[in-house]
Amino acid sequence: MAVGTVALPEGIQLPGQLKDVDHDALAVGMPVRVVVDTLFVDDDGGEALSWWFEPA
Amino acid sequence: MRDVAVIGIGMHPWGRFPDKTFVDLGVHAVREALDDAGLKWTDIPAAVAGLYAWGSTTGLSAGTSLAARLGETGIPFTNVFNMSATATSVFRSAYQVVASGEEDMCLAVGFDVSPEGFFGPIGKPDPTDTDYLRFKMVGVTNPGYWAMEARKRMELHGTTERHLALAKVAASQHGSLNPRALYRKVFTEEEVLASPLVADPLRLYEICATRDGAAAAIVCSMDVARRYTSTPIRVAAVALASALHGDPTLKLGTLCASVGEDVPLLSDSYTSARRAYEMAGIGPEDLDFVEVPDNSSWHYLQYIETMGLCEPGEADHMLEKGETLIGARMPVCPSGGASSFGEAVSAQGLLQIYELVTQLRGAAGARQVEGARVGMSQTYGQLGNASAAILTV
Repeated sequence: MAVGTVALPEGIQLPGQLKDVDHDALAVGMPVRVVVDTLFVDDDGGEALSWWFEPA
Repeated sequence: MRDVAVIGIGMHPWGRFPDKTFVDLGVHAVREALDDAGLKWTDIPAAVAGLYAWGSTTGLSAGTSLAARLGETGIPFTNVFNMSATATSVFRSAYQVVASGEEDMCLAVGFDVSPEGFFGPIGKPDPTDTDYLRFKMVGVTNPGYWAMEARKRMELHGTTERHLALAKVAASQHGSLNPRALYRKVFTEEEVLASPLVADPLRLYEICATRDGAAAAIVCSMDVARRYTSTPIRVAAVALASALHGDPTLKLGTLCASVGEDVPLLSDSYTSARRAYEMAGIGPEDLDFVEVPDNSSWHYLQYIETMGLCEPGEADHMLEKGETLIGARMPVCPSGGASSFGEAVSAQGLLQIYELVTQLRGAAGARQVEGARVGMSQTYGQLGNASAAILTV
Protein backbone atom coordinates (compact mmCIF):
# COMPACT_ATOMS: atom_id res chain seq x y z
CA MET A 1 0.00 0.00 0.00
CA ALA A 2 1.05 3.60 -0.46
CA VAL A 3 0.45 6.39 2.05
CA GLY A 4 1.34 10.01 1.51
CA THR A 5 1.07 13.43 3.11
CA VAL A 6 -0.79 15.90 0.93
CA ALA A 7 -0.62 19.69 1.16
CA LEU A 8 -4.08 21.13 0.56
CA PRO A 9 -4.58 24.62 -0.86
CA GLU A 10 -6.32 25.57 2.41
CA GLY A 11 -2.91 25.37 4.13
CA ILE A 12 -3.07 22.11 6.02
CA GLN A 13 -1.31 18.86 5.27
CA LEU A 14 -2.90 15.49 5.86
CA PRO A 15 -2.01 11.85 5.34
CA GLY A 16 -4.08 9.43 3.32
CA GLN A 17 -3.87 6.28 1.28
CA LEU A 18 -2.92 6.71 -2.36
CA LYS A 19 -5.16 4.99 -4.88
CA ASP A 20 -4.27 3.65 -8.30
CA VAL A 21 -0.66 4.79 -8.21
CA ASP A 22 2.45 3.18 -9.61
CA HIS A 23 4.67 2.89 -6.51
CA ASP A 24 7.81 3.39 -8.56
CA ALA A 25 6.44 6.62 -9.99
CA LEU A 26 5.66 8.23 -6.61
CA ALA A 27 7.45 11.54 -6.24
CA VAL A 28 7.49 14.44 -3.79
CA GLY A 29 5.35 17.23 -5.24
CA MET A 30 3.19 15.09 -7.51
CA PRO A 31 -0.34 16.50 -7.93
CA VAL A 32 -3.20 14.44 -6.50
CA ARG A 33 -6.93 14.90 -5.94
CA VAL A 34 -9.14 13.83 -3.04
CA VAL A 35 -11.60 10.99 -3.63
CA VAL A 36 -13.99 9.24 -1.27
CA ASP A 37 -14.13 5.49 -1.62
CA THR A 38 -14.90 2.30 0.27
CA LEU A 39 -12.41 1.43 2.98
CA PHE A 40 -14.06 -1.84 4.00
CA VAL A 41 -17.45 -3.52 4.31
CA ASP A 42 -18.29 -4.85 7.77
CA ASP A 43 -19.93 -8.21 8.57
CA ASP A 44 -23.43 -6.69 8.37
CA GLY A 45 -22.80 -5.24 4.92
CA GLY A 46 -22.18 -1.73 6.25
CA GLU A 47 -19.82 0.25 4.11
CA ALA A 48 -17.05 2.33 5.72
CA LEU A 49 -15.83 5.22 3.60
CA SER A 50 -12.52 7.05 3.82
CA TRP A 51 -10.62 9.78 2.02
CA TRP A 52 -8.04 8.70 -0.55
CA PHE A 53 -5.74 10.50 -2.93
CA GLU A 54 -5.29 9.59 -6.58
CA PRO A 55 -3.00 11.06 -9.24
CA ALA A 56 -4.56 14.21 -10.74
CA MET B 1 14.84 25.92 43.80
CA ARG B 2 17.71 23.87 45.30
CA ASP B 3 20.40 21.96 43.42
CA VAL B 4 19.53 18.32 42.88
CA ALA B 5 21.78 15.33 42.22
CA VAL B 6 21.34 11.75 41.08
CA ILE B 7 22.78 9.39 43.69
CA GLY B 8 21.54 6.02 42.49
CA ILE B 9 20.61 4.34 39.21
CA GLY B 10 19.26 0.93 38.28
CA MET B 11 17.77 -0.92 35.35
CA HIS B 12 16.29 -4.21 34.29
CA PRO B 13 17.71 -5.26 30.90
CA TRP B 14 15.51 -4.59 27.85
CA GLY B 15 14.02 -7.64 26.09
CA ARG B 16 11.04 -10.00 26.28
CA PHE B 17 10.31 -11.61 29.63
CA PRO B 18 7.21 -13.83 29.40
CA ASP B 19 7.98 -15.38 32.80
CA LYS B 20 8.01 -12.03 34.61
CA THR B 21 5.27 -9.52 35.40
CA PHE B 22 5.78 -5.84 34.65
CA VAL B 23 6.05 -5.23 38.39
CA ASP B 24 8.97 -7.70 38.54
CA LEU B 25 10.85 -5.50 36.08
CA GLY B 26 10.22 -2.36 38.16
CA VAL B 27 11.22 -4.10 41.42
CA HIS B 28 14.50 -5.18 39.80
CA ALA B 29 15.34 -1.64 38.64
CA VAL B 30 14.44 -0.04 41.99
CA ARG B 31 16.46 -2.56 44.01
CA GLU B 32 19.45 -1.96 41.78
CA ALA B 33 19.11 1.82 42.23
CA LEU B 34 18.79 1.42 46.02
CA ASP B 35 21.90 -0.79 46.13
CA ASP B 36 23.75 1.69 43.94
CA ALA B 37 22.96 4.50 46.39
CA GLY B 38 23.49 2.34 49.48
CA LEU B 39 19.87 2.86 50.56
CA LYS B 40 16.98 0.72 51.78
CA TRP B 41 13.44 0.96 50.41
CA THR B 42 12.34 2.39 53.76
CA ASP B 43 14.74 5.32 53.24
CA ILE B 44 12.71 6.57 50.23
CA PRO B 45 10.32 9.37 51.29
CA ALA B 46 8.56 9.96 47.94
CA ALA B 47 8.32 8.32 44.52
CA VAL B 48 7.07 8.90 40.99
CA ALA B 49 6.41 6.10 38.49
CA GLY B 50 5.78 5.92 34.77
CA LEU B 51 2.67 3.89 34.22
CA TYR B 52 2.22 0.89 31.99
CA ALA B 53 -0.47 2.02 29.56
CA TRP B 54 -1.17 -1.39 27.99
CA GLY B 55 -1.43 -3.06 31.38
CA SER B 56 -5.05 -2.47 32.51
CA THR B 57 -5.83 -1.21 36.01
CA THR B 58 -2.66 -2.58 37.62
CA GLY B 59 -0.61 -0.94 34.89
CA LEU B 60 -2.43 2.37 35.33
CA SER B 61 -1.42 2.36 38.99
CA ALA B 62 2.07 1.05 38.27
CA GLY B 63 3.83 2.82 41.11
CA THR B 64 1.24 1.81 43.67
CA SER B 65 1.55 -1.78 42.45
CA LEU B 66 5.28 -1.50 42.91
CA ALA B 67 4.85 -0.19 46.47
CA ALA B 68 2.71 -3.21 47.26
CA ARG B 69 5.66 -5.42 46.34
CA LEU B 70 8.52 -3.40 47.81
CA GLY B 71 6.65 -2.61 51.02
CA GLU B 72 3.78 -0.25 51.78
CA THR B 73 5.47 2.59 53.61
CA GLY B 74 2.83 5.27 53.11
CA ILE B 75 4.96 7.48 50.87
CA PRO B 76 3.38 9.66 48.15
CA PHE B 77 3.56 7.68 44.89
CA THR B 78 2.54 9.59 41.76
CA ASN B 79 1.71 7.65 38.58
CA VAL B 80 2.61 9.55 35.40
CA PHE B 81 1.94 8.96 31.73
CA ASN B 82 3.16 11.29 28.97
CA MET B 83 3.63 8.93 26.01
CA SER B 84 7.32 8.72 25.05
CA ALA B 85 8.12 11.65 27.34
CA THR B 86 6.82 9.58 30.29
CA ALA B 87 10.07 8.53 31.94
CA THR B 88 11.72 11.95 31.63
CA SER B 89 8.51 13.51 32.97
CA VAL B 90 8.80 11.11 35.91
CA PHE B 91 12.37 12.25 36.41
CA ARG B 92 11.23 15.88 36.16
CA SER B 93 8.54 15.36 38.81
CA ALA B 94 11.03 13.66 41.12
CA TYR B 95 13.46 16.53 40.52
CA GLN B 96 10.73 19.03 41.45
CA VAL B 97 9.87 17.18 44.67
CA VAL B 98 13.46 17.70 45.80
CA ALA B 99 14.22 21.08 44.19
CA SER B 100 11.11 22.59 45.78
CA GLY B 101 12.23 21.45 49.21
CA GLU B 102 9.23 19.18 49.75
CA GLU B 103 11.50 16.17 50.39
CA ASP B 104 15.25 15.66 50.45
CA MET B 105 15.03 12.59 48.25
CA CYS B 106 12.74 11.05 45.62
CA LEU B 107 12.66 7.89 43.52
CA ALA B 108 11.91 8.03 39.78
CA VAL B 109 11.03 4.73 38.09
CA GLY B 110 9.64 3.72 34.70
CA PHE B 111 8.72 0.18 33.69
CA ASP B 112 6.92 -1.06 30.65
CA VAL B 113 5.93 -4.12 28.66
CA SER B 114 5.35 -3.52 24.95
CA PRO B 115 2.64 -5.16 22.86
CA GLU B 116 3.87 -7.43 20.05
CA GLY B 117 4.84 -5.82 16.75
CA PHE B 118 3.83 -2.31 15.72
CA PHE B 119 2.24 -0.20 18.43
CA GLY B 120 -1.51 0.18 17.91
CA PRO B 121 -4.17 2.40 19.48
CA ILE B 122 -4.54 2.09 23.26
CA GLY B 123 -7.96 1.21 24.68
CA LYS B 124 -11.27 0.43 23.00
CA PRO B 125 -12.06 1.39 19.38
CA ASP B 126 -13.02 5.05 19.59
CA PRO B 127 -13.88 7.04 16.44
CA THR B 128 -13.18 10.31 18.29
CA ASP B 129 -9.56 9.21 18.94
CA THR B 130 -7.26 10.50 16.19
CA ASP B 131 -4.81 7.74 17.02
CA TYR B 132 -7.52 5.12 16.38
CA LEU B 133 -8.55 6.91 13.18
CA ARG B 134 -5.05 7.08 11.75
CA PHE B 135 -4.74 3.30 12.02
CA LYS B 136 -8.30 2.60 10.87
CA MET B 137 -8.83 5.22 8.15
CA VAL B 138 -5.31 5.60 6.76
CA GLY B 139 -3.50 2.48 7.98
CA VAL B 140 -0.37 4.41 8.84
CA THR B 141 1.82 2.85 11.54
CA ASN B 142 4.49 4.76 13.48
CA PRO B 143 7.24 3.81 10.97
CA GLY B 144 4.87 5.10 8.27
CA TYR B 145 4.96 8.56 9.83
CA TRP B 146 8.75 8.41 10.15
CA ALA B 147 9.09 7.26 6.54
CA MET B 148 7.11 10.30 5.34
CA GLU B 149 9.38 12.59 7.37
CA ALA B 150 12.43 10.77 5.99
CA ARG B 151 11.15 11.37 2.43
CA LYS B 152 10.72 15.06 3.23
CA ARG B 153 14.26 15.15 4.58
CA MET B 154 15.67 13.43 1.50
CA GLU B 155 13.95 16.01 -0.69
CA LEU B 156 15.01 18.96 1.47
CA HIS B 157 18.57 18.03 2.45
CA GLY B 158 19.63 15.33 0.00
CA THR B 159 19.77 12.64 2.68
CA THR B 160 20.25 9.25 1.01
CA GLU B 161 19.40 5.64 1.89
CA ARG B 162 23.11 5.27 2.65
CA HIS B 163 22.89 7.94 5.36
CA LEU B 164 19.93 6.12 6.92
CA ALA B 165 21.96 2.89 6.94
CA LEU B 166 25.02 4.62 8.42
CA ALA B 167 22.94 5.78 11.41
CA LYS B 168 22.28 2.13 12.29
CA VAL B 169 25.93 1.24 11.73
CA ALA B 170 27.05 3.98 14.12
CA ALA B 171 24.51 3.05 16.81
CA SER B 172 25.42 -0.63 16.53
CA GLN B 173 29.11 0.14 17.03
CA HIS B 174 28.24 1.75 20.36
CA GLY B 175 25.72 -0.93 21.33
CA SER B 176 28.35 -3.62 20.78
CA LEU B 177 30.42 -2.04 23.56
CA ASN B 178 27.55 -1.96 26.08
CA PRO B 179 27.23 -5.17 28.10
CA ARG B 180 23.64 -4.23 29.02
CA ALA B 181 22.44 -3.64 25.44
CA LEU B 182 20.01 -6.16 23.98
CA TYR B 183 21.45 -6.11 20.44
CA ARG B 184 25.25 -6.18 20.37
CA LYS B 185 25.99 -7.13 16.75
CA VAL B 186 27.96 -4.58 14.72
CA PHE B 187 26.11 -4.01 11.44
CA THR B 188 27.71 -3.10 8.14
CA GLU B 189 26.17 -0.66 5.71
CA GLU B 190 25.57 -3.54 3.27
CA GLU B 191 23.74 -5.62 5.91
CA VAL B 192 21.45 -2.72 6.80
CA LEU B 193 20.69 -1.95 3.16
CA ALA B 194 19.91 -5.64 2.54
CA SER B 195 17.30 -5.73 5.34
CA PRO B 196 13.62 -5.65 4.24
CA LEU B 197 11.86 -2.36 3.61
CA VAL B 198 9.27 -1.71 6.31
CA ALA B 199 8.07 1.74 5.27
CA ASP B 200 10.04 3.00 2.28
CA PRO B 201 12.76 4.34 2.72
CA LEU B 202 13.10 2.89 6.25
CA ARG B 203 14.36 -0.67 6.56
CA LEU B 204 13.96 -3.24 9.32
CA TYR B 205 17.34 -2.56 10.95
CA GLU B 206 16.72 1.19 10.81
CA ILE B 207 13.67 1.03 13.09
CA CYS B 208 13.91 0.24 16.80
CA ALA B 209 12.15 -2.81 18.20
CA THR B 210 9.40 -2.58 20.82
CA ARG B 211 10.59 -4.31 23.98
CA ASP B 212 10.11 -4.55 27.77
CA GLY B 213 12.34 -2.88 30.34
CA ALA B 214 12.63 -0.81 33.50
CA ALA B 215 14.94 1.92 34.77
CA ALA B 216 15.13 3.93 37.97
CA ALA B 217 17.00 6.88 39.41
CA ILE B 218 17.15 8.25 42.95
CA VAL B 219 17.54 12.02 43.21
CA CYS B 220 18.40 13.98 46.33
CA SER B 221 19.34 17.51 47.31
CA MET B 222 22.95 18.38 46.53
CA ASP B 223 23.42 19.44 50.17
CA VAL B 224 23.16 15.88 51.40
CA ALA B 225 24.16 13.96 48.24
CA ARG B 226 27.76 13.48 49.39
CA ARG B 227 26.53 11.47 52.36
CA TYR B 228 25.54 8.79 49.88
CA THR B 229 28.05 8.99 47.04
CA SER B 230 31.43 10.48 46.20
CA THR B 231 30.21 11.23 42.66
CA PRO B 232 26.82 13.00 42.82
CA ILE B 233 25.67 13.85 39.30
CA ARG B 234 23.99 17.26 39.12
CA VAL B 235 20.64 17.68 37.40
CA ALA B 236 21.43 20.89 35.51
CA ALA B 237 18.11 20.86 33.65
CA VAL B 238 15.04 18.80 32.99
CA ALA B 239 12.46 20.35 30.69
CA LEU B 240 9.19 19.46 29.01
CA ALA B 241 7.50 21.06 26.00
CA SER B 242 4.44 20.53 23.82
CA ALA B 243 4.22 21.49 20.15
CA LEU B 244 3.80 24.94 18.58
CA HIS B 245 1.02 25.77 16.17
CA GLY B 246 2.40 25.75 12.65
CA ASP B 247 4.82 22.87 13.28
CA PRO B 248 5.39 21.21 9.87
CA THR B 249 5.82 17.77 11.49
CA LEU B 250 3.03 15.31 10.84
CA LYS B 251 2.89 14.51 14.53
CA LEU B 252 2.54 10.89 15.54
CA GLY B 253 -1.11 9.96 16.06
CA THR B 254 -2.51 13.04 14.36
CA LEU B 255 -4.18 13.38 10.97
CA CYS B 256 -3.07 16.83 9.91
CA ALA B 257 -0.31 19.39 10.19
CA SER B 258 -1.03 23.12 10.06
CA VAL B 259 2.19 24.23 8.42
CA GLY B 260 3.18 27.74 9.47
CA GLU B 261 6.13 29.94 8.68
CA ASP B 262 9.33 29.80 10.72
CA VAL B 263 8.14 27.07 13.07
CA PRO B 264 10.76 24.35 13.49
CA LEU B 265 10.19 20.71 12.67
CA LEU B 266 9.57 18.73 15.89
CA SER B 267 8.78 22.03 17.63
CA ASP B 268 8.07 20.24 20.92
CA SER B 269 11.52 18.65 20.96
CA TYR B 270 13.15 21.84 19.69
CA THR B 271 11.53 23.81 22.51
CA SER B 272 12.30 21.28 25.25
CA ALA B 273 15.97 21.28 24.23
CA ARG B 274 16.13 25.11 24.20
CA ARG B 275 14.34 25.25 27.54
CA ALA B 276 16.89 22.79 28.96
CA TYR B 277 19.82 24.84 27.63
CA GLU B 278 18.36 27.96 29.23
CA MET B 279 17.77 26.22 32.55
CA ALA B 280 21.33 24.81 32.59
CA GLY B 281 22.84 28.09 31.39
CA ILE B 282 24.77 26.32 28.64
CA GLY B 283 24.51 25.74 24.90
CA PRO B 284 24.89 22.72 22.61
CA GLU B 285 28.60 23.56 22.18
CA ASP B 286 29.12 22.70 25.87
CA LEU B 287 27.85 19.13 25.57
CA ASP B 288 30.24 16.17 25.64
CA PHE B 289 27.70 13.59 24.38
CA VAL B 290 23.97 13.14 23.79
CA GLU B 291 21.38 10.39 23.98
CA VAL B 292 18.83 11.04 21.21
CA PRO B 293 15.50 9.24 20.70
CA ASP B 294 16.72 7.08 17.80
CA ASN B 295 13.41 5.33 17.15
CA SER B 296 14.50 5.23 13.49
CA SER B 297 17.43 6.36 11.39
CA TRP B 298 15.41 9.44 10.48
CA HIS B 299 15.22 10.35 14.19
CA TYR B 300 18.96 9.84 14.62
CA LEU B 301 19.75 12.38 11.89
CA GLN B 302 16.94 14.82 12.63
CA TYR B 303 17.51 15.05 16.38
CA ILE B 304 21.17 16.01 15.95
CA GLU B 305 19.82 19.10 14.21
CA THR B 306 16.72 19.60 16.37
CA MET B 307 18.94 19.70 19.47
CA GLY B 308 21.11 22.33 17.79
CA LEU B 309 24.28 20.22 17.51
CA CYS B 310 24.69 21.32 13.88
CA GLU B 311 22.87 23.31 11.21
CA PRO B 312 19.83 21.78 9.44
CA GLY B 313 20.99 19.29 6.81
CA GLU B 314 24.47 18.92 8.35
CA ALA B 315 23.81 15.77 10.40
CA ASP B 316 24.33 13.61 7.31
CA HIS B 317 27.86 15.01 6.92
CA MET B 318 28.61 14.58 10.64
CA LEU B 319 27.63 10.95 10.33
CA GLU B 320 29.66 10.42 7.13
CA LYS B 321 32.73 11.87 8.84
CA GLY B 322 32.31 9.69 11.92
CA GLU B 323 31.75 12.72 14.14
CA THR B 324 28.93 11.03 16.09
CA LEU B 325 31.13 8.17 17.31
CA ILE B 326 32.70 7.82 20.76
CA GLY B 327 36.05 9.62 20.64
CA ALA B 328 34.84 12.07 18.00
CA ARG B 329 33.32 15.57 18.16
CA MET B 330 29.84 14.70 19.45
CA PRO B 331 29.18 11.09 20.44
CA VAL B 332 25.51 10.30 19.78
CA CYS B 333 23.92 7.51 21.84
CA PRO B 334 27.06 6.05 23.44
CA SER B 335 24.68 3.51 25.05
CA GLY B 336 23.74 2.19 21.60
CA GLY B 337 20.35 3.92 21.91
CA ALA B 338 16.91 2.49 21.24
CA SER B 339 18.51 0.92 18.18
CA SER B 340 20.50 -1.41 20.49
CA PHE B 341 17.94 -1.74 23.31
CA GLY B 342 14.50 -1.48 21.73
CA GLU B 343 11.86 0.86 23.10
CA ALA B 344 9.92 0.41 26.33
CA VAL B 345 7.88 3.63 26.26
CA SER B 346 7.43 4.38 29.97
CA ALA B 347 11.02 3.49 30.85
CA GLN B 348 13.04 4.83 27.92
CA GLY B 349 13.80 8.33 29.23
CA LEU B 350 15.16 6.87 32.46
CA LEU B 351 17.34 4.46 30.46
CA GLN B 352 18.84 7.60 28.92
CA ILE B 353 19.36 9.08 32.41
CA TYR B 354 21.01 5.78 33.40
CA GLU B 355 23.49 6.21 30.54
CA LEU B 356 24.12 9.89 31.31
CA VAL B 357 24.94 9.10 34.95
CA THR B 358 27.11 6.10 34.02
CA GLN B 359 29.13 8.20 31.55
CA LEU B 360 29.48 11.16 33.91
CA ARG B 361 30.71 8.86 36.68
CA GLY B 362 33.36 7.63 34.24
CA ALA B 363 31.98 4.11 34.70
CA ALA B 364 30.99 3.29 31.12
CA GLY B 365 33.91 0.94 30.44
CA ALA B 366 34.61 0.26 26.76
CA ARG B 367 32.08 2.86 25.64
CA GLN B 368 33.32 5.62 27.96
CA VAL B 369 33.32 9.12 26.47
CA GLU B 370 36.69 10.34 27.77
CA GLY B 371 36.44 13.30 30.10
CA ALA B 372 32.65 13.50 29.86
CA ARG B 373 31.39 16.30 32.08
CA VAL B 374 28.08 17.33 30.46
CA GLY B 375 25.52 14.97 28.89
CA MET B 376 22.07 15.56 27.49
CA SER B 377 19.08 13.33 26.74
CA GLN B 378 16.09 14.08 24.54
CA THR B 379 12.81 12.28 23.86
CA TYR B 380 10.37 12.20 20.93
CA GLY B 381 6.68 11.60 21.44
CA GLN B 382 3.12 11.08 20.32
CA LEU B 383 1.10 14.17 19.34
CA GLY B 384 4.16 16.35 19.91
CA ASN B 385 5.24 16.17 23.54
CA ALA B 386 8.91 15.99 24.36
CA SER B 387 11.37 16.27 27.21
CA ALA B 388 15.06 16.90 27.63
CA ALA B 389 17.53 16.59 30.50
CA ILE B 390 21.06 17.87 31.04
CA LEU B 391 23.27 16.30 33.70
CA THR B 392 26.73 17.44 34.76
CA VAL B 393 29.51 16.25 37.07
